[in-house]
Amino acid sequence: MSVLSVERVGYRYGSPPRQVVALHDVSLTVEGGQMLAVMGPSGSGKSTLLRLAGGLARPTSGRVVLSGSELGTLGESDLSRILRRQVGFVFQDVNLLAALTAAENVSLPLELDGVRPRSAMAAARALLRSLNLDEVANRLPAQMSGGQQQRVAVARAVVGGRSLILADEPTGALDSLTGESVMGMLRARSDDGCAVVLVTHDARHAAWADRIVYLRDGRLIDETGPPAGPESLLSEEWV
Amino acid sequence: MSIRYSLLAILDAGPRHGYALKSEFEAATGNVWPLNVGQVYSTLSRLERDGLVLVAEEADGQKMYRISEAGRQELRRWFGTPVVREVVPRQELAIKLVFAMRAGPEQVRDVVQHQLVATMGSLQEFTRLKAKAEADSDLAWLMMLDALIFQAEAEVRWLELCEARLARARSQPRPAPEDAAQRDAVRQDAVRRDAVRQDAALEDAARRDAAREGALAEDALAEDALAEDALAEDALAEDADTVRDVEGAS
Repeated sequence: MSVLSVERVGYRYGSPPRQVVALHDVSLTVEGGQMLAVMGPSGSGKSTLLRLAGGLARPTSGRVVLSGSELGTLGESDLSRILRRQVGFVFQDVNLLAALTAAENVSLPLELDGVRPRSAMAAARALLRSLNLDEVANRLPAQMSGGQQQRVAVARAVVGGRSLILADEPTGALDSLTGESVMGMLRARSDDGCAVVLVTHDARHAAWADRIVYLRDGRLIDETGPPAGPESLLSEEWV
Repeated sequence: MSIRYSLLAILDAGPRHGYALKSEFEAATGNVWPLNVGQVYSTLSRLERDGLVLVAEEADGQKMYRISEAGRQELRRWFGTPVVREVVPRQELAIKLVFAMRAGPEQVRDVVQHQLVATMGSLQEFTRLKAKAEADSDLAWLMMLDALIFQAEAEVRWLELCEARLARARSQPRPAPEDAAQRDAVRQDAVRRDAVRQDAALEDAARRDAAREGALAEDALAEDALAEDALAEDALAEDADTVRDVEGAS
């Protein structure tokens, strides 16, 4: 069973004659352990697609199925419970809570989910340690660099073994090497069996994915991957 | 060419047989650029001819290559010289796009999209190889992959820009002249006016050059005059010295 299945989804806003079709008949599936990148110019519908996939908006046509549950048929409380347990979000603007330390930020989703504070905190610290972030565990966001904040945000998105990570330009404001370490974290989660969907206009970061799909004017027009193997790079001649 | 210098660089670490040079070169460049062994030996014989490597035949008839002092100097010179960029590289993709433009925007979109998918595929492979190089702590190969990745990324960004330009051109159609003949006339007129402008600019430049040369010539005359003055002063001073000497003596 796919972790995420987007089926013939459309999304439009406004009303005629000024209606805008943001997505048109888009279908895709993402399995556990797979990383999918969505590329396309600004306004092509990338972020809308991610919002629909994460249940932050409802499609005007088609359906979104998350680990077997069709999001459109769920009531508000079921929906938010499923999203909290299964979906982690990473955005370009790191939205850590400023009054909480890194460890508290990471443990919060677990506590909201009913895990006892002590165990939640222990899990958060263990996760930060495994991501080489223990040095910032007790710091407030303002006391961390942008790269550290973003890595903590990824930690918060993946804590508790969620099955789907949705990332919207997660490396936007970071320098090349720091951006790479964030991509490395997302890649590692996907290698551990998580499904990852990454929206980006950065070709270098999209290239971390197993599959890249291209959106133009709200339609999926093409895709790259899975990788063909290093032989595909061999040049014919080189003198 | 860089094979020549790559071989010198490998030999700089110690003598090697020809075949070892081939495999070491390939390993260092992640087997992305396979060398054929004939290429290696023909390069080695040119290096030997130029006195940059020395060859010793061993008992079993195998040749052992060693870098000479001149070879070391040549290698240092290579490291110290920036690589010359081709100002306008003869790039098949760019040429393809230029001619696709004649066939119309649809054709260009096709070229762009097919290339985008293919280049992203290469980028995916480079990224995968990089993760492995990182795990192996192979820093030289890692930096080379970074270069390949940035080149592929530049191509992707350029392709995306081409597409954005096409999209913009579609959404803001320029007022077209009524027919092709008129368009040609307009274009020819523009070319003519451009030529006139260029001629004027050239004449202007020539005039400026002449003026500058004139000024230089005047400067030169003035300098000559100054030099003459200086000589004259020297002569006067000498005369004065002579006078003093004579007076002192008498």
